[in-house]
Amino acid sequence: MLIQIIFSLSFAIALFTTWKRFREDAVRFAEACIWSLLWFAALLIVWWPGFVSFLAGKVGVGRGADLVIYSSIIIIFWLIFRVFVRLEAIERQTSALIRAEALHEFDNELAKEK
Amino acid sequence: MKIIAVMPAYNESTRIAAAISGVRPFVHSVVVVDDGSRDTTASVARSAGARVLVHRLNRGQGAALKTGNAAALRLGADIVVHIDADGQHDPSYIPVAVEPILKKEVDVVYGSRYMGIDASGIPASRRFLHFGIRRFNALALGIPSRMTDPQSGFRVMTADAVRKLNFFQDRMAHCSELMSKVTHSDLRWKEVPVRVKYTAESLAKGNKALDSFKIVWQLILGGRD
Repeated sequence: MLIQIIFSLSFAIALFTTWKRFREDAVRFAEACIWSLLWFAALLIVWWPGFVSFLAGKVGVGRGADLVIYSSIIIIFWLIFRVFVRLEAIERQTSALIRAEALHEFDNELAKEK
Repeated sequence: MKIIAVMPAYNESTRIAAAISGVRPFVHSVVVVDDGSRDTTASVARSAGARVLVHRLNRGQGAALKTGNAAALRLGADIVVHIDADGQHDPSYIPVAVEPILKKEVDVVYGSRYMGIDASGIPASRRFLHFGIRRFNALALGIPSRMTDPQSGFRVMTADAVRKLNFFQDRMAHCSELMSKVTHSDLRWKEVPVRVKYTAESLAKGNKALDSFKIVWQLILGGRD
C-alpha cells in the first residue's frame, strides 16, 4: 500500500510538472499528452498489477514484470535515438551560427578594403 | 581563372605559416578558417598573408570547409582548392590537380595518396584503415571502388561544383559525404596522384581506427540543416 501511495504522489507531481511545462511552451501539446499517458500507465501498473500480467499473457511474455522491462527498454532506446538526432540538429544549428558570425566579420573586412 | 585555396585549421600555429607559404605560389589567395583554435593560428596565418576567418568555437573540419567555401566564393573564386593546414599535402601538386579543370575535362579533382606516388611516412595501419574505409564507402555509400583514396582532403573543384555540393557533416564524416555527393551527381570527377608527407604530429591528428566507428555513426544520423 505504501509504495502505491508514494507512486501516486509521484504521478501527481509528474503530471502537474508536464502540464506546467506545456503552459510555459517548453513542451508541445502532443508531447504533454504522450507523457501523461505514460504516467497514467505507470499508475495503472502500480494499482492494478494484474492488468500487466493479463497483457503479458496476451503477447506471449511470461510475467507482467518482464513485459514492463521489455517495453521500457524499447521506449528508452527510442528516446535515446531521438535525443541523439536532436543533438545532431543542434550541433548543425550551432555551426550555422558560428559560420554566420565568421562570414559577417569577413564581409566587414572586405567592405573596409573597398 | 581565379584559384583560391581553402585551409581549415585547428591549433596549427607551428605549421600553418609554412603551409601557407608553400601554397601561395600556386593560387591567387589563401583562405584560412581558424576552427576555434586555442593557440595563435589565426594571427600566424594573417602574418603569413592569408585571409583568415575565425570560428569562435571548434565545429569540425567539415564545418570549417563550408565557411571557407563561402568566403572563397565571396572573393570571386572560379576554382577552389581544399588543402590541409599542416603541410601534409605537397602544394606543388596543385597545378597537377587544377589542370583537368582548366582544360574543362572535369568539375572535381581528388588528390590520391594511392596512385603510384609513395606517401612519405604513412604507417601500414593507416593504409589498412583506408582500405577498410574504401570498402565501406563502396558498400554503404555506393562510392565507386575506383576512388582510390577514401579520405582525401586534397580536392579541387569549380565554383559551380562548390555551390552544388551542399554537404551537412561538420566533422570527420564530411569526407565520405562529399565523396558520395560528388560521385552520385552529374559532376565530372577524376583522381590525380599527389604526394603526402606524414609526420608524427600529423599522424597524431589524423584518422584513427576508432574514428571509423564515429564516421559511420555520423553518417547514420545524417540529417539536414
